[in-house]
Formats: sequence, structure tokens, C-alpha cells
Amino acid sequence: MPMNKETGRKMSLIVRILDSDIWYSFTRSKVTMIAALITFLIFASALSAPIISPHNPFDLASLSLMDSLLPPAWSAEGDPNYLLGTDDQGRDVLSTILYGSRISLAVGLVSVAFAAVLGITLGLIAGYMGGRVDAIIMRIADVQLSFPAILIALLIAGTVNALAGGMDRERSAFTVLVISIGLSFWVQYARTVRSSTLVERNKEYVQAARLIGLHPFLIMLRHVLPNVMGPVLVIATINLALAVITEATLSFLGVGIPGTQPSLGTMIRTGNDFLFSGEWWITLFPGAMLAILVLAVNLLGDWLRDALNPKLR
Amino acid sequence: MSDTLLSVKNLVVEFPTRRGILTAVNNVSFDLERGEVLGLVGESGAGKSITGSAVIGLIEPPGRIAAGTVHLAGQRIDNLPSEKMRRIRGDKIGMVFQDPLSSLNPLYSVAEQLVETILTHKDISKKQARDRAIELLDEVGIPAADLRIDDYPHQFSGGMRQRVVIALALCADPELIIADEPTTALDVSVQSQIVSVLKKMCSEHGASVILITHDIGVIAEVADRVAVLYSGRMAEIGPVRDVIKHPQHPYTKGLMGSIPTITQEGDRLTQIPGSMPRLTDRPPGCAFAPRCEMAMGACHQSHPSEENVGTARVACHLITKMGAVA
Amino acid sequence: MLAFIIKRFVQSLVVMLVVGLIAFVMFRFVGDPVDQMVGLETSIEDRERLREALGLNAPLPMQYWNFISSAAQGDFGTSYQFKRPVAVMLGDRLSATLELALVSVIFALCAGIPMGVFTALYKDSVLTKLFQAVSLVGISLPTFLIGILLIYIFSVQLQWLPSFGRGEVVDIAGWSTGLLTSSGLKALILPAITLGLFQMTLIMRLVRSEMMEILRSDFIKFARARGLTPRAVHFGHALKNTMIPVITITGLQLGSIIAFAIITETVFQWPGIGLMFLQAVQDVDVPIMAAYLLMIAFLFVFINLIVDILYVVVDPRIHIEKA
Repeated sequence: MPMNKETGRKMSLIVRILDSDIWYSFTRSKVTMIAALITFLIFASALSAPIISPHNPFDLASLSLMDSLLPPAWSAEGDPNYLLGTDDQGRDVLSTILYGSRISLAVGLVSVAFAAVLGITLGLIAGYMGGRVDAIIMRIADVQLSFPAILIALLIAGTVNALAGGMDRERSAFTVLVISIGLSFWVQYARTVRSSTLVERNKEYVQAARLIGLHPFLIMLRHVLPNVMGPVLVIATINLALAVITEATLSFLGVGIPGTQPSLGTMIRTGNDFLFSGEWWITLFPGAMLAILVLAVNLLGDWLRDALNPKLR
Repeated sequence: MSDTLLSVKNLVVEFPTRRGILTAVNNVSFDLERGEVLGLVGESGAGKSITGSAVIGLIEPPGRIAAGTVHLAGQRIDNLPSEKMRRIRGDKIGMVFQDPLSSLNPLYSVAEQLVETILTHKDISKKQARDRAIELLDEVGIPAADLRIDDYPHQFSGGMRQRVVIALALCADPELIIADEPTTALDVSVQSQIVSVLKKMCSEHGASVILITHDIGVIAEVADRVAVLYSGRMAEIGPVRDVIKHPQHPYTKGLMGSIPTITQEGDRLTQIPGSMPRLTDRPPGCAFAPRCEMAMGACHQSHPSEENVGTARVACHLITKMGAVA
Repeated sequence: MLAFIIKRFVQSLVVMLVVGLIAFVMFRFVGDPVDQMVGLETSIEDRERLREALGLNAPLPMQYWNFISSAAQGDFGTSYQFKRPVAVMLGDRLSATLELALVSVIFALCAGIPMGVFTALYKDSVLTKLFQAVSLVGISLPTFLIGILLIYIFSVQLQWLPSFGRGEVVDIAGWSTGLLTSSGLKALILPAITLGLFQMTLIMRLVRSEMMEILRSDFIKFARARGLTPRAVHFGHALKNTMIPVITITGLQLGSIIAFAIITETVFQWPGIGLMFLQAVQDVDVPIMAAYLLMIAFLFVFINLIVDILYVVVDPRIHIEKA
């Protein structure tokens, strides 16, 4: 009998999820399901790039300039070894796309996580402490919000690169990108969390907890956070797409991931030089991959926002 | 010409949702004479507002009138094409809603909104329309109407705003006014003023009124007849005095008994146990049966048909069986 | 209302000063100004003299003040790379960027508003689904990719439109415009679409959601109950109420567009201030970077201020005191 109760509880959770409005609207929309599938596939292939990719484009020893600038395998001069052709260094475009999307996704995910943590923390502090601290944080947020994220990211990345001189851009590029993108996105999280915190702060259980001696901050974490997870998730999903775009843009502009271990944006930058001479595959395939990835994530984000919006039920 | 202005027969209004079809109004019938004020009372969710919206043709899709007919002055209006129905709205039927602040477009002055409505239905000059508008504002009791007419909605107090709304509903001289909870959003002190303004305007302009409200006090003051709705169906309909003093339907009895009056001293107020069933889980048979003290077997199985009992029409198995209750 | 305007003005000033501080810090401490200006052989004494002459030994607050006051007068220092006054360089290229930005905003509004209204009113039409697909693409594709695609289709394959530069420009009282020549117009098309597509999408979605929200409101219901024509309801009442948030947000986006121009200018080699800024980043030409930062900040702050004031003036609810 105890066994049944346990499984009974687990079953009821699954039943609840399957019966919920969210799952219903998910399965109703074919588009969303396809988007989710595509996102999953891209994530999976990026994760397993070392395993499934036919070549390793980052291993300089394995590159042969003889094989450079080959068109995709289905055209006349193509080589079946290099399915989507090669770039000017002899790198296999398909493999580079797989590895590149890995980097793009990594930057995207980590910077969103960074922005979320920073934003949630600042939002909690601002909402809970109120007064001066709140005013300062919100003022900074307001000012920053009036500048586009790309500009902020560009400025930070550009300035840091300038300061660092030429020193080891390969390794620092990732960190610099994550920080600059993360710093340009924290505001939305902070605002949402702050308003929830303000609401919770005045509730009686917080004062009660204070009387007991429990640190209200921890209580707020336990109660505010769950309330806020929905909108935060929506913001994060939409942010992920934006973060990937921002990384690609910065790389395209030359202040992002440098060329030897390229992300999708860097590949597009490299390939742009060859567009007019007819070697279109170096730019357009990574471009297509980027576009599909961002489109899929955006669709998911759209659906999530509608599904979690109580007004539309 | 017959005296019956509005004739609603077997009206059914449905709302398809993903959990199935919800029937908000289930087989409601009533008539309205010219010059009459009919009160439509019931709890929240009983279907009164939807009945009103159905008459004026403003049920939002995917909701729809699934069955029944609505006749206005002998002409059937529930199945008209949208352009024809639009012409009827404002011109033959006017409607007043609950919240006067949200009923008025904040970006236009009162003058602009009045003139626009008048000109939509009457072929007169702008100046004439404006004069007419000032006259109307005067009639509803807005002081210094010619000065205030150019003000914006937020510059009026709640009671004044509702007067403006009444003026707007009446400006094209409709024959029927549907007032959906016109006083609910107002201060108590202002409520009876608005009710009398409404009554005065309607009788002076020759319009009949369907007054939808959950406040029986208002009905007692102003209505000629009253219809009691419960869970989408009509429980009882009859002259106001009779329904209030000698309610026949058990629900109506409970309702009347729950109103405090100055004359009744000492007695406890009646409280009807339980609550009205949700649209999604209506019981078979009479919707009130689960809460009714006098429910019989038949009450749980089939819905009672309407029977004439004295001056009223009542839908109750008990009445059908036993005749009028004292 | 006057109090409000003054308050906003003061706020803007504070923001400018803060941004000025950041620009100053960058200007002074990123790289060494003296090293940038002289050759390797210059003696230490000469460097010291230069340092003194430039005021680099004065107390920091004073240096900050000098920086701010010169900037306010239009003196942004000299470019390390080009050895020319930054202000002059900015001036040369400003009209290129502004013209591009303006044309793209006009495009975004003229395309976005009608599309938004259409998709709000005719929710089930095939055209609506098409527009929504386009809008999804518009916000998913990064600006640079759109530019590259347009170039590939229209310049490389079809060879209809140029892929770089402004074409022929005409100088009118210091403002160089490409609108008066056919090559100038042709050169504007692709960049303007690239820059404006994202904006168009934003506007379309905004108009759609605002309108759908407003169409559900009580005063629309009442307007219908009064028998107003669909045209009066949709355009006279609904659209007018939609316009306020739309104008506000578009105005606020204006500055954003000028910043996004960096990307578009890079793709199309458009000789504007954005491209100049990017090159400055790569060359570590700090005076230009600092000047661009100040200018953009000024533009943003100024635009925000104007929009805020306009909002108060236009919306009768706020503008008229309660009776």
C-alpha cells in the first residue's frame, strides 16, 4: 500500500501536467512542437559535436589548404568528404557549423544565466531593502534600459578588447562576451523580481518570520522566487535568442569570438568576404543555422509567454 | 399596432470552450410592453447580462445565440446581418453599462462623442447635433451643460459620468434601453439619483427599459415587472409588487427574505444555503433543486415548465403540482 | 506641468554628466594620450612638456571639467589614428547616418502600422498568417544577416541594387543627401530596409497587440452599442488610442536605430558615424570612441526627454488639470 501511495503521487503529478492548460496549448500548436523539436535537435547536435561531426575544424594539423574553398558536395567540384564545402582555411563547413553553434549556444546560455542571476539578485535587494538602495539600483536600470543592449555589449566588449591589447583574445573572448552580454540584459529580470518582492515584503508572514528570528531574506527567496519563475522563464527564453543574436553580431563586427575557433557569427564574417566571388556556402550555411536556431527559440518563447499569460486563458 | 415592443422566445446562448459547450442562457422567454420597465434580477453569473447582450446583438464570438428568437416591434432581429443590426443599435436599442469611466473614450470630449453618435443615426448638421447634445446633457441634469460639454470624461465625477452615458445611450431616441448594472459602480448616495434620471429620461423619451441588476431595492423603486433568473433559466416573472410581496418560486422567496427591510424587526434574514452551480456542472433537472428545502423527486430529474400562477409565471414543479403558494 | 519638465530636464543633465564621466575615464585612462600622439623617439622631457600642455597633470576633477566643457562646445579632441579633430570627422559623417536612420523609420512606420492594424482586425485571414510569419522572421534574423541576404539576392544575383556606399550625394548647407540622385536613392534602399525591418516588426506587433487589447475594452463595447460604424469604431476610437503607446515607443526606438546603424553601416560600408565608431574600436582610437559615446548618449537622453514632454502635452488625461 505505501508503494501505491508513492507511485500514486508521482502519477498524479504527471497526470496534472498532462491535464494542465500549458500542455494542452503545447500539443495544440504544431508549430510550437516543431520548434521545440528543432531546438532540441540543435542543442543535442551542438552538445555532441565532437562525436558526430565528420572533422575537427579546430585541429589545425588536420587542415589542408589543398581542400580550401571547395563547394558543397552536390555540386561539380565538390568533395563528398566535405558535405557543405570548405572555407578558405580548408575547414569543413558542416563541422565548423556544429562546433560553432556549440560556442554560440554556450555563450548564449551562460550569459543569460549570468544576467538572470545578477538581475534576480539585484531585484531582490532593491525590492527588499527599499529606500536609497532601491532608488539607486532602479535609476541605473532605467538609464541602462534606454540604451540598446547591443550598444552596451559592444561598448564593453570593445573597450575591454582595447584595454587588453592583443593579449590572448582566444581565451578571454568567451568571458568578455558573456559578461558584456549579461550586463546588457539584467535589467528585465531585476524589474520583474523587484515588483514581486515589493508585493511579498508587506505580507504578514514576512513580519512573522522576522519575529521568529528567521532571516526574511531567505523567506523571500522561498516565496518570491516561485511566483516569479514563470515570467523569468519567459524572459530567459526570449533573452536566449537575443543573446545568441548579440554574440553573432559582435563576432560579425569583429569584437566577439576570434577567427581560429569560430562561432556562427565569426563564420559569417569570414564568409562575407567571399560572397561576391561566388563562394556563398561559407556564409549562407552558418547563416541558415543561426536563423533556424533563433527562430525556433523565439517560437518557443512566444508560446511560453502566451501559455503563462493568465489574461489570455 | 400591438403594445408589445420586445418579444424574446426560448433564447439559448452558448459559449464553446475547450471543456465543452457552456450554456449561459437556457431557454429564456419574456415580453416587454411599450413604456414598461422590466427588471432582470439574479446572482452574478445567472445570465442576466448575457441576455441583455443577446438582445442588442453584442455577444462576442465564439459565443453565439444557439436557439430562440428576438423580435423588436414585430421584426426579427436576432438573425440580422451585422450591418443591419448595427443600424438598430443606438437607433432602436440603446445600452448602458456598469462602469461609466471605462465606457467613455478618454481621448475624446463628451461633445465629440455625443455629436458622433447623433450624426451616425440622424441626418442633421453638426451644429444641430451639438445643440441637441447640449439639450440632452441638460435633461440628464448636468449643470452648465453648454460649458461642460467640451470637457473630457475624467473631468466628471462618477455620477455625472453615468448621466453622460445615459445621454449617449438615448441621443438617437431608441425605443428600448438595456441598462446593465447601471448603478453598481457608483456611490450609494448617487445610485438612487441615477435610477431616477434613468426612469425620467426613459419615460420622457418614450423608451422601454430592461433594467439588469442584482439589487432588488432598485427594482422595487423603479420597475413595473420583474424577472428572476437562476443559472441561465427564468425562475419567476411577474408584476413587481406581487413578486416581492408574494414570491412563488422557492428561490425568489429566499431572495426576498434575504433583503433587510426597515419594517421587519427582529426576524433573522433568510440565507439560502449553498451557491448557484457553475456553468460547467449544472445538475440535471431544476438547477435550484440542490439548495431547495422543498425539493421533490421530480425536481432532480427534469426541469419544470413555466406555468401561470396568478399574475406571475413560475417554473417550479411544486407550483405545477400544487398551485399557488400563499 | 512646468515642474515636470524641469525635473525631467535636470534628470537628463545628471545622466549626461554620468555618461560624460564614463567617457572621460575611457578617454584618459585607456591607453596613454601622450604615447598615442608622439613617436617612439620623443624624449622624456618633451613628453613631460606635452603632458603639462595637455593639462594631464592637473587634478582629476579639473580634467573632468575641462573634458566636459570642451565637449559641450563641440571639441572632442583629436583622433589618434587620423590626426584630425574628431568633431569635424563626426560632422562629415553625421548626415549619412541620420538620413539612413530617418528613411528606415519612415519605412518601418509606413509598413508596420497598416500591417499591425490589418492583423488585429482580420485575425483569421491568410494574409495575417503571412504577416505574422514575416514578423517572426524580422525579429529572429540578426540585422547583419538580413543585410547579407539582401545583398546576396539583389546585388550579387540580380544585380539590381548596389551593395556598398551611398551613391552620389548632393550637399545642401552642410547636409549631404543622397535623396536627390538616382544612384543615391538606389543605394539607400537595401540599407534602409535592413535597418528598418526589425523596427517594422516591432511596430507591427505592438500595434496588433495594443489594438486587440483596446478592441476588448468597455468603451469600444459601448461605441458598438451606440451603433457607430465599424470604421468609426476601429479607426476613430481604437486606432487613436493605440497610437499613443506606438508613438511613444517608436520615439524611444529612434536612438536605438541610430545605434543599430553601426551594424548596417558595416555590412553596406555606409560612410556614417557608426562605421567610424567601429573602426575606432578596432584601432583603439579612444577620442572617437569617447565622442561617439557622448553623442549617442546625448541623442538618447534628448529624444527621451522630448518624447516624455510630448506625451504629457498630447494626452488630455494628463495635460488638463482635474476640474
